[in-house]
Amino acid sequence: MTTRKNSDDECEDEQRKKKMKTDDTRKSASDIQWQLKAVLADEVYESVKTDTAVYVTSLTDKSDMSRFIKFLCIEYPIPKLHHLKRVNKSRILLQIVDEVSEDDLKEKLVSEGFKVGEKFEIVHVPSKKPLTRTQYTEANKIWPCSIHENKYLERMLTGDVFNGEDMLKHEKYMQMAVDAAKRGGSCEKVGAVVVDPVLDQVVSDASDDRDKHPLKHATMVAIDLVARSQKGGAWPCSNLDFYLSPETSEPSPKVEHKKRGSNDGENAANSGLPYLCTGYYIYLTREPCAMCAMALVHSRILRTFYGCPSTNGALGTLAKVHLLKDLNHRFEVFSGVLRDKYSLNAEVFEAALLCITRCTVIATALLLDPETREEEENRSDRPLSGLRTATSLLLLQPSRDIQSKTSSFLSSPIRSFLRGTPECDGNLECCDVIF
Amino acid sequence: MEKWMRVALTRAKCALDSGEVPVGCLFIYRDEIIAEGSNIVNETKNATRHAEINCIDEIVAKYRDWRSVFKETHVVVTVEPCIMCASALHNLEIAGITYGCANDRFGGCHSVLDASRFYPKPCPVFSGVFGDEAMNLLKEFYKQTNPNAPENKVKVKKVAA
Ligand SMILES: [Zn+2]
Ligand SMILES: [Zn+2]
Repeated sequence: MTTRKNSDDECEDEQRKKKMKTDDTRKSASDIQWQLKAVLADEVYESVKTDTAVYVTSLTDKSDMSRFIKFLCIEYPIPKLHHLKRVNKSRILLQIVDEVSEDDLKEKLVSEGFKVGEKFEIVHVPSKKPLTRTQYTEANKIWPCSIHENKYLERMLTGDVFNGEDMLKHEKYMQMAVDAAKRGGSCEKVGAVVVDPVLDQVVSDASDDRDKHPLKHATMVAIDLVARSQKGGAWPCSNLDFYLSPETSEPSPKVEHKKRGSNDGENAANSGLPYLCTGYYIYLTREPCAMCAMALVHSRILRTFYGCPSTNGALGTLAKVHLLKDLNHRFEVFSGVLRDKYSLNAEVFEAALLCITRCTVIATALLLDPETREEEENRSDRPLSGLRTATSLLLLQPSRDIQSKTSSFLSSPIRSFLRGTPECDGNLECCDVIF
Repeated sequence: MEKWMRVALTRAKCALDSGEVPVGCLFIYRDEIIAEGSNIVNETKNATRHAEINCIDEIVAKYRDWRSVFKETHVVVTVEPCIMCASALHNLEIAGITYGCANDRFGGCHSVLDASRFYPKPCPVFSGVFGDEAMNLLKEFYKQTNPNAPENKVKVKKVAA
């Protein structure tokens, strides 16, 4: 907390210019204290279900085995269970119970001269092919199976997709999104930063203005500013926000080509000219709503990173819009950037707060600095929310609806935050609804 | 609603002629059109500039008390709103949505996803008014290619970064 710059002394423009420059050299990857989590399809996390009954038998004459297997593969192929091996030591998988009656099956096998067991064993096997190592191990305990191991998926599952350098970039850009969130004029503090990962360059940097305009969620604003960087756009750029000027965003084709070529097709806009958000990453302080999530699909974003999940989020919480099979574009989503550090870092704690969409008063937790207090109290022009000056003051003001769910989530990080904040008196003056 | 849908279809035809997706959209407030629009995606280079979004913009600019205006506004649109637009409309607690044909690619009312379940006060949705007419316009559009899309859409290969 004490290391935080006093942003009030600097004019906003100056600040933003500074942000554009990389000043991360002091930091190393080992400083990263948050965990990245890929938001993957539900089926990847599912446990193995033994939902299909099959007949199993063994041959009394083992020397007949290979002829028997050949016969089964031709007469009783089971495409549905292609992932399962036919043979489990001496036991042989014959057919799905629903496909044929035991008597018919036995008759047929006997008529072909196979000496099968008196009574078929019925085994329940998984009908879904394993997608992950975990599912494979689990399924294998039931019946031997095969897997097309997807190394990338395994890395996604463990969150091991990016190297240290990349992680520092994610932290840097998410920090910018947190800053954008803070400067936004609306009650709900959300920030969005669109980045060209190949050029390591910010394309747009947007705050949330939904109180004045119901569509101006940070994500929507950021997307429109990307359009503006391509000489398009529909909304005027607020003086709180930033976009790369079209001149800068279209570097000479030569440079462009070389840089992008080196990154093995990460950028789909082959022409070299940017097209929508193709090839770009977006950093959001919190999980976007369904409107914003779909806007990212329309804009063909390459990857989305967000800090915290939100109750109305559509990239993991209520839905996974980025994975809908019917849509013409899908993208990768990672959550947890800069999360889980609340007690250590005030700014990250703010990011956590930003994920709360509708809370009631958490009133004030203050504040040994009387000057700041007065200043804040005199600001009646707009409702307070979030932590405006985190160094000495924690103020949250009511937004429209009350959701009891969020309140329990909120109370513990705030308390732990206060405990680690000697400047505050540590007392929460708050509304009974919350604590 | 049929009378309004006829107007919306005319707007959709105009959009087709100017090379945008043929979607016509009207916002009806107290039996009067207060906003109408079509897609301006190519013009703005912003893939979110759908007809509904443009109309919402127009109303926000026109009415100081837009919040209450939306609650009494009925949306008439030739094609099922996409997930983004349907979400925006449910969030605004609009009075109702009437659309013509389904949107198999992006539909947010029932085709791809039902966005109403994400919102505490979803609005009622009616469908099938002049659906065939709306569908024919769309078919005509998809016969032509979108001139602004990159020529060769290379499949994005995910690189382990
Ligand atoms: Zn949103
Ligand atoms: Zn739409």
